Amino acid sequence: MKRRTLMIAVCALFSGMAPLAHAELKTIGTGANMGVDITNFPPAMKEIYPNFTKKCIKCHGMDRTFVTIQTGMTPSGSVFDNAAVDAYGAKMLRKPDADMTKAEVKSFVQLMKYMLEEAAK
Amino acid sequence: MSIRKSSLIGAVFASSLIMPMLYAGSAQAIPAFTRQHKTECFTCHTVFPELTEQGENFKKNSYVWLETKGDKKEAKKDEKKDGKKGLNDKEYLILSSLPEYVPLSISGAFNGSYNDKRPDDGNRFDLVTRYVRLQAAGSMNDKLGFWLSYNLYTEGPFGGSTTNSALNGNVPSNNTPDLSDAYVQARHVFDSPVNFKVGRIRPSLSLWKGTNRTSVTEMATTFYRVGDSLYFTDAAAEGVELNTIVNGKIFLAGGAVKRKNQKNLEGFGSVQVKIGGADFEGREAPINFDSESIFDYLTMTLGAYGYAGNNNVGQFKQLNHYYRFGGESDIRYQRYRLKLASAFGEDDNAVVDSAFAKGPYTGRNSRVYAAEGLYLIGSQFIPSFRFEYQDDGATITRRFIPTLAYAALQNAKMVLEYKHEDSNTSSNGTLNLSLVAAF
Repeated sequence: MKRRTLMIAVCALFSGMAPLAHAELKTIGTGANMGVDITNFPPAMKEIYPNFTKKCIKCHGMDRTFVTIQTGMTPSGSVFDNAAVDAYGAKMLRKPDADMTKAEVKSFVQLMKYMLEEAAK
Repeated sequence: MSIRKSSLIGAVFASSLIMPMLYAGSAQAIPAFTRQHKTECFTCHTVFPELTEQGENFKKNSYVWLETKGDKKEAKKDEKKDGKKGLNDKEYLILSSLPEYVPLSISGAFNGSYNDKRPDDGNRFDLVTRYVRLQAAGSMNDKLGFWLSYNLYTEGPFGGSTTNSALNGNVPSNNTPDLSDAYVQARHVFDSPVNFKVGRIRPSLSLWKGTNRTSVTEMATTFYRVGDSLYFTDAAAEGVELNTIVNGKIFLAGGAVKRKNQKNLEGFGSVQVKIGGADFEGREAPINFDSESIFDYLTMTLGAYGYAGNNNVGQFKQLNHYYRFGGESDIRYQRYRLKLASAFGEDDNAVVDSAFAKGPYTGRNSRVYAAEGLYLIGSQFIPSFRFEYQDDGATITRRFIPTLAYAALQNAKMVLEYKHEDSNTSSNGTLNLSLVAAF
């Protein structure tokens, strides 16, 4: 009885800790085709997501985007925070072969900030 | 059309498809940076070695990787996330100021050319391994940038010079292994905004380093020479340079060069101003996402420079006092790019009469203009057209240079170029095909 109680207590403890140990942004797959689980995203963010992945992958794998958002660090070691998201948005808009409109960049910036927030939880 | 003429055209066409050419430019793309900063070549180059804004800024900041950041100067940093400040498994490298990777790259070019008016000496059609070059570059703890470029092999004209001789030891020689560039740049010396560059340098004069182009032919404004003088603006020489970035928008440089076998130092200075886009320190100008403006996409860099020096142009070592100055602008708008350049100069003893130890001296005034328009198609093609007007004080030359550059891979490219040249003494056309790779 005592042992059973102890086991239940340990399980309860770990199950409660699980959300603390992992960011809310859940990735799916690996490499260039990595994605994130958007099941719990608000509808507006869900709507942006497909176009976001389509445009990003034109130049680089999606793992670069999602790992950067998850870790808050770019592959080259720079901090990736909300201010950096704005700057990257401007940079992508100006990048000649990015093929992104201003409206698209605006929506991508919103989505990335949302994901950053989720990843920080 | 005669059979002979059609055969000639066929030969030119076939040549253009099969081979490389004579006036191949030198690539200065450094794949070592890709490995070091975990980012692809296209981050800093369009069709290499032509630089993007990011590439220009990277170079100006001693090859220190710049964060992409907003317009606010007080970029906040999370110390815990910054691997350079916190504990990490690369601490031994940081403490030793060593780059994580040995920053070496090798590049090479193979060229073919056909010149329809060249004397029939067997080289109207020419194939040449233009160069094989070893390059090393990077930064040490963001304090010291370095660049080294060593020609393992070169053939044909180097750096716009067709008759390199031993008279000017500061112009790389031909057909032998030779040091092209080798310098270090101390960054933010004593926590000041000033950078100090020393070594075999190309003084920061033009907006574009000589290799910063998609074409095979160099830009006349920085590669033209006058008379017997071996000087051209993009030549490397032993010297020192102080440079700084003011408020992110203004780049200032000044320094001195020491030539072999002459007492006097040479001096130079330049100023560059950035309008729109990312500033010289990588800060992106803010964008209003709720309204359209051409200024969101328009980036302009304006530059002016001056150089004054003297060299020995003949066997009697008569001094040629000379100066150059120029103005340039680089305008980017989405996929379009326009480069405008002008250069002016005076040489007081540019031509040597070997019969006279003391003269007669022949002075020459020179002026050169160039305009080049480029358009990026997709990510891999850049068609461009350049017009050049060059008056070196003796001959007026006009050049019309259409070019198509294609990056088959990010580190391998092919350039097809036709250069039509008209002067008051001759007219000729050269078809060039260049294959360049770097790894």
